[in-house]
Amino acid sequence: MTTSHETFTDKAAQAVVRATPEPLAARVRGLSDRAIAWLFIAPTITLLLAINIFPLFWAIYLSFTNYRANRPNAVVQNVGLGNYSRVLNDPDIWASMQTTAHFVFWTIVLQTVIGFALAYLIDRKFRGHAFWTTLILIPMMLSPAVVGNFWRFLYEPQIGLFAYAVSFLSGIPTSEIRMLGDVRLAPWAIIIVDTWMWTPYVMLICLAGLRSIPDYIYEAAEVDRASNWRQFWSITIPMALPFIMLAVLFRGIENFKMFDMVNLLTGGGPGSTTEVASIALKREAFEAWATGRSSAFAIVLFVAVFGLANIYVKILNRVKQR
Amino acid sequence: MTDRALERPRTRRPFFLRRGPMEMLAVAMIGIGFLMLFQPFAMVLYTYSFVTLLAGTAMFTVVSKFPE
Repeated sequence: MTTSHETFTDKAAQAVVRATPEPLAARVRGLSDRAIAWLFIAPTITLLLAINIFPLFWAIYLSFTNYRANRPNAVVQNVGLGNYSRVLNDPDIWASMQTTAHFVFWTIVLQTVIGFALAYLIDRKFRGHAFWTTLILIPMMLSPAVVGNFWRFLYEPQIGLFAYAVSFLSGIPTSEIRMLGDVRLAPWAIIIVDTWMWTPYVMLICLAGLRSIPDYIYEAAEVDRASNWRQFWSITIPMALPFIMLAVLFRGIENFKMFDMVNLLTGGGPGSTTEVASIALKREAFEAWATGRSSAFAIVLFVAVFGLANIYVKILNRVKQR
Repeated sequence: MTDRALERPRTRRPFFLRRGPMEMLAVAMIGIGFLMLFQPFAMVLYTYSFVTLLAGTAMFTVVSKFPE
């Protein structure tokens, strides 16, 4: 039985060898493990270079020129640091940075506070906590396009549930609750949606931090008659702090680049009250067609995010060392 | 052999070649640059925010390669 099986295997191997063109077989046999490894990762590296690295260097090059994408045949001239000077002296772009800061600050504060509170509650392991965890996690699984569209309906002054609920609780007529059309309310409308969508994400990270605290520390604190309040401030917060900081940095980097939700909800309006940096960048690039200047703007944003990512890596290393 | 004899001779690197303090300095520069970029008070701070951020980021990239 074994002999017939070996014979069959040998025959199959010989058939494969015969079917393989000789030069290719010789080449594969001659390759080292390292060369084969390179052969496998080459497509990924090529894609990475083509999609990420090349556009970055191309944008750096364009940021020093007066190139306009709607005039591809025009002569491209080097303008030195002119584009950077214009971007960094433009009051409108400065205003968009402030709008971004307002958005990032409040979303992070709200998401961290609510996310940690939810994680603290879920960590109590009450009856049905698994069901509630799943329910809370649903918003972050939705596509931003879907979320943007259905919140537009929710915010509708006449038919929207949000306006109806606020009117029911406050007595203000629904026609006056124009979340997306009022210059004072529109930034908060976006903050509410982003908080609703991404608080579960912060909750997950905080929950991981809370679950990593060993029980014996709380037991030792109870032996020492430490109150629940004291345990919370002296054990829970310090030990979960690296995770909270991680969540803050993750959300900070993401919200700094926020585009889709703002574009769907308000498009930067009314006026320019919700024109965050990414929306301003899109307008420079595809409405004003100032490709060189918008590239300089993009590089400024890239350096800011890259700097933030460096701090993030440093904190992550500290978390690993603990 | 005494304990003193077993001690390795300590080589003091100059401040600008030590990873810890230089990394902290770079992080501080990035943080200040970030605040300058987003603050609503003075246009001149916004104008110089990019240079500060770039210097901090470049410095961090270099000094994070220094040995511990």
